[in-house]
Amino acid sequence: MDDRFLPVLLEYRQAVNPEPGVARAPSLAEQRRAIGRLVTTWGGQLSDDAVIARGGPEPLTIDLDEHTTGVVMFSVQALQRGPAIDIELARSIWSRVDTLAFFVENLRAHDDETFAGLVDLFMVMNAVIARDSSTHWRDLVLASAERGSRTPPPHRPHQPSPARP
Amino acid sequence: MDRVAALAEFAERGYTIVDAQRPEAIDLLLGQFLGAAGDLLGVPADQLSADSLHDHVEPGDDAARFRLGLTQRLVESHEVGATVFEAFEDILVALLGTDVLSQRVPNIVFQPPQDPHPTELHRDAPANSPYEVVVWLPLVDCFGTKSMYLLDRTASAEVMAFYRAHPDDRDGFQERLMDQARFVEVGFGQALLFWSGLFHGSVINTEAESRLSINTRYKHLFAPLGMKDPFRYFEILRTSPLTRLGLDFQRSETFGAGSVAGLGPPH
Repeated sequence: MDDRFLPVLLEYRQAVNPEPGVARAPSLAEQRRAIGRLVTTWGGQLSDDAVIARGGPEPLTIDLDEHTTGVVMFSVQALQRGPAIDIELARSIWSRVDTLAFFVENLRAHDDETFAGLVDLFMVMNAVIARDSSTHWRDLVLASAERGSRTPPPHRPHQPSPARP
Repeated sequence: MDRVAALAEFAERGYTIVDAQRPEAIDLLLGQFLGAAGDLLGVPADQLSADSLHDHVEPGDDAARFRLGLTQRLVESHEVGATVFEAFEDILVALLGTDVLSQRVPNIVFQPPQDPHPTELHRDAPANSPYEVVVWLPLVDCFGTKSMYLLDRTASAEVMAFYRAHPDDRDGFQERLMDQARFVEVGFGQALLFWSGLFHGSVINTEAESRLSINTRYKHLFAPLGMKDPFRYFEILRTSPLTRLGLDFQRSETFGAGSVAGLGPPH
């Protein structure tokens, strides 16, 4: 029996984007067709169902039946919950399928090793996004830039650590 | 130039030209390129020379198709980004550290003499992150118009200051850019390393030889992102032992003990 893939489509918030020079965001029907063509090259077929991701603060719900062997998301953005990638959702999907792929980014996990590589990338990007959106971090960077990279940091009196083993 | 001097030059000018630490890695790349070129052109690789590829490929659309074919073959079958990094490892590690993201698909440029499609003057950042280093690696000796030009850090900042003060004076902006642009001479076995905030470009190659070159980008794994989608444009090239510990820890905190093995589907 052919492998069956559930498409996860992305409802773009703006009609323009996602790529410079592209007149408009792809419609849900176009995304489904594109994913369909991709899974055909893998010898598989699309489920009749589809999940539509909107990237809001609520976790995306994906119901997988026993016939679904893979999930293809149109973009990693479909995994976003607010600004961060929902790694727990990725893990939950991966525990039930053999393939988790992302069409736009051309990424595909098909074994534990490739999935772990994706998780590493997701964790790093979540850390970078969280840090860059932090006002404390921004203040620190601005203060460092003002001091100049060759100037040693201002002297601070030694303060003992709060606890020592 | 030793590594310390090259780093000082990079810090001051925003670019430096360095010899490969492992020239054999560049020989390997050249062999792979000529092998792929031979397949595409139907010519035995040992009868091809990178300087003379224009004997087999016309400028214009033919050259563009050849470049795309070459990119596809090389990226599918070889780890070009990893090989380039290895060739210049010491200085790249000094610039970036040991946690590195690499451009997933390095750019391959083929410019036969009189090709009408040089690279227009631009800078990578923005939209790329200003925390990236570009490695421009010619697989031939590059000089004169066969090479590329760039504006150093001071010149790039000056022309941007002019643009901010005179946003409608496009001609004046262009004139200043071209006044400050300097062609670089980069031999086979060397690379130009430059910061993503520098203006650069190329002109029509009026020399009698072809230019075949690679350009690719690296940045620290945890460097601030640019506007380019990191998942499309970058992949993890290497991680330090410390970062691997951190990632393993974070994974096990998120998913529980068992780490990778525990993540697999129940077969």
